[in-house]
Parts: sequence; structure tokens; C-alpha cells
Amino acid sequence: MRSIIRFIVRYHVAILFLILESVALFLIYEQKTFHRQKMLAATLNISDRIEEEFSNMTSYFELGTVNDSLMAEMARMKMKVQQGGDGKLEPAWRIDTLDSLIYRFIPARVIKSEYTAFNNYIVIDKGSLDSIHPGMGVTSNYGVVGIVVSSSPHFSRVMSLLHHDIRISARLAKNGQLASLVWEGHHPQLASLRYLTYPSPVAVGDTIVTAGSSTYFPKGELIGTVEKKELEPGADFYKITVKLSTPFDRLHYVYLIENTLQKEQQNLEDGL
Amino acid sequence: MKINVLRLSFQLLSLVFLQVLVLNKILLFGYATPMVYPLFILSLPVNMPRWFELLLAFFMGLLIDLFSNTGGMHAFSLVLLAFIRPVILTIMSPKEGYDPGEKPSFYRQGPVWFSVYIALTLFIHHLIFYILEIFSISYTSYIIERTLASLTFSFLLILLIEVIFFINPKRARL
Repeated sequence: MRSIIRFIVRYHVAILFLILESVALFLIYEQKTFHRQKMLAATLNISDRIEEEFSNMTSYFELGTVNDSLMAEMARMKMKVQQGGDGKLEPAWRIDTLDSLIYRFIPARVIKSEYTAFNNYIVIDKGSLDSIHPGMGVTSNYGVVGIVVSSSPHFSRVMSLLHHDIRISARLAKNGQLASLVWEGHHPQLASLRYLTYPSPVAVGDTIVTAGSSTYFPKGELIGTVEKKELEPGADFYKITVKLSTPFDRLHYVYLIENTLQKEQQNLEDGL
Repeated sequence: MKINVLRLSFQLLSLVFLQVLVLNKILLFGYATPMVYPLFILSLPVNMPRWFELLLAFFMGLLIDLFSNTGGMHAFSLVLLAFIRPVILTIMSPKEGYDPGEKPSFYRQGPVWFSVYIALTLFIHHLIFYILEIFSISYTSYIIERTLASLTFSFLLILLIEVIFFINPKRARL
């Protein structure tokens, strides 16, 4: 017994070091596994309240930009109404107006938008009391933003497009060809488009929109434009870099998308 | 040894808030995010009890993790930094040793000594942090790029903070 105590006294620094590092590793592990996202909801309140105060203070400086983007969106909406709900935005394939009532849009304010980490999240000021729940899609007037992963009563955490686990089913707006959008962690404005099959009329500057095959987003939400296209000889798929239309460093307001038929579609797909 | 609790907590909190509210939002050239909060641990007195240093580092790291949603990555790398700091201090110790209660600083030990000290310790801290954050062998080159880019940025910022905010003892006595 005495020798144990002597051992502890002698090596107390190393023992403390090992204990602290294991606690830290445990926390990292908890964070990286997905179920933690739900538990986080309870603990994220304090830091988010401070962030909220800070963003309240700084939001006044951004009012000009916010107004401009709102005006631009108004103009776009007016054009869309004139064109009867579809028109020139999707020339090759059309949105069916019958299914447009499936989606409900809820506005929310961005409290914190990360874009410098390897996996980025966004915190918004609406939570489960505003009927926000994990699995809702998030867009902005610029384009697609991400997917809600956890919510506390007053806040929600959104996995942004700048996250390594996110996969968005996308389409080439020109001809409706399917592909998959991922972010490879290099630049907060650039993502990669995978599985766009050869041959395709894709060109630099083409619009990429959501496919509407997942339950998160309606068809035709803007994702970005083609920045660079490569095709290795003999390859089946293009290597495409997409310039995201959402500026994650200047994001102030977003829309949450509630898909009223999400459960039904997921149940059916799970049954397959 | 007397520890000025008020001063210590003020330094800790101001560095945490500087990191969380300002520096974490910077991404220079798509790579570099400065991390200056290790300065707090790095400028503790040399004869600080080691267990206390470790606890302080853990607490500060957790505080930053809480705000930046990184689990325990900052805590892990900062505790490691606090653990190896005495080793590096011993290796770099001057011939006549340190005065009791001496704090490593730009003015006291001189620019060259201080730069080497900061660069060495920060390199280990940044490398461990990015390894933990990215955690993938296929991104090795990316880890190294980010480490070096952020290291340069943090290094310059720390020197700047040190020159601006810490009192020059020689001048203060005049």
C-alpha cells in the first residue's frame, strides 16, 4: 500500500497527464460519433447564448449586405411568378407544381457559421419549440446550406455543405443528369461533384441544382456553378469542381425546409 | 510561490475570447487559422507546479472546445503542450539557469530565444491539433500544409501580442 502511494506521489505529473489526455480523447470520440449530436443539444446552450449576444452586436454592420441580398431574392421571385412558376431557370426539365405544397419554409437567423474547420457546423436561432427537428434541409437565398443534425428547445445545429460526411444528390440543371456533391476540405467555396457520367454536355459555368431524390431538399434548389472540369482519358466520370453559391462566411438568414411527406417516403424506401 | 489569480484569469479569459470570437473565423488563403491561446501556457512562470500547469491547460482547452464544437481537440493538444514545455525549457535553459518565478517573454530572454521557444512548442501543438481534427492518413499532406500555414500565422501574431501588450521590464523601471 505504501509503495503504491509512493508511486503515485512520485509520478503524479505523468499520471495526471495520462488521465487528462484520456478524458480529452474520450470527448473527441464522443464528438465524432453521430449519436453525440443529439446529446450535444443539451450542452450547447451556454456557448451559443454568448455567440448569440456577439452576433446581435455585430449584425448591425451587415445590414446593408443583408438588404441587398433580400432585394435580389425579391427580384428573382417576381420573375418566377411572372413565368408561371418554372420558366427559364430549368429549361430542360420542369418542376411539377403539384408537389410544391409538400415543402414548408421556415425562416431562421444564423448565430454562428463555421467555415475554417475540417468539419463545419452552423448554429441557428430556432429549435424544437419552433418544430425544428433533425433531418430538415436548410437553404438560403443564395443556395443550399446543409442539413439539421440536432436541436435544443431554442437552437439547432446544422451540418453545413462544408462537412466531410455530407452527400447531396445533385443534378446538372441543363439536362437533369444525376451526380453527387461532396466537400473535400480544401476551400470554403469549392466542392466536388462526383459520378457525373461521360459523355455529358457539361461546361464551365453550368448550374448545379439539387436533384430532389432525397427527402431533404425540393428539386432545383441552387447549389453552385461548375468552376473546373476534367476528364482523364478512359475514365467514366468527370472530375468537376463546383463553386458553391452560398457564402458561408457571410451567411445571416436561412430557410429551414420541412418536408411534410418525409416520413412516408423514408418508410417506403426503407421497406425496399 | 504567489500566484496572482485575478491577473491569471483575466489573461486566460481574454485569450479564450480572442480565439473563439475572432481568430477561429479567420481562414487565410484557404489554409491558415491562427491559434494564439497557447501563449497563456507558454508565458506561465518556469517554476510553476507541473500538476497545476496541466490542470490549467486542460481547463482552458475545454473552454475553447466548448465554444468551437471540437470535442476535446484543443484540450488534448494544449495539455500535451503543457506537459512538454518543461522539457523544452530545460533543454533551452541558459548557463546560469532561470530565476525563480521567471516568465518566458520576448523582452526578458531576447527575440531569438523566444522565437525558437514559441516556434518549437507551437509546432508540436498545431501538428497534434490538425492530426486530431482531420484524422486521416490519406490527408497527410493536407495536415502538414495546414499546420505550417497556421503555424506561421500564429507565430507572427504571438510575437505581435507579446511586443504590444507585455511590458518591457527595462523600460518600465525607467
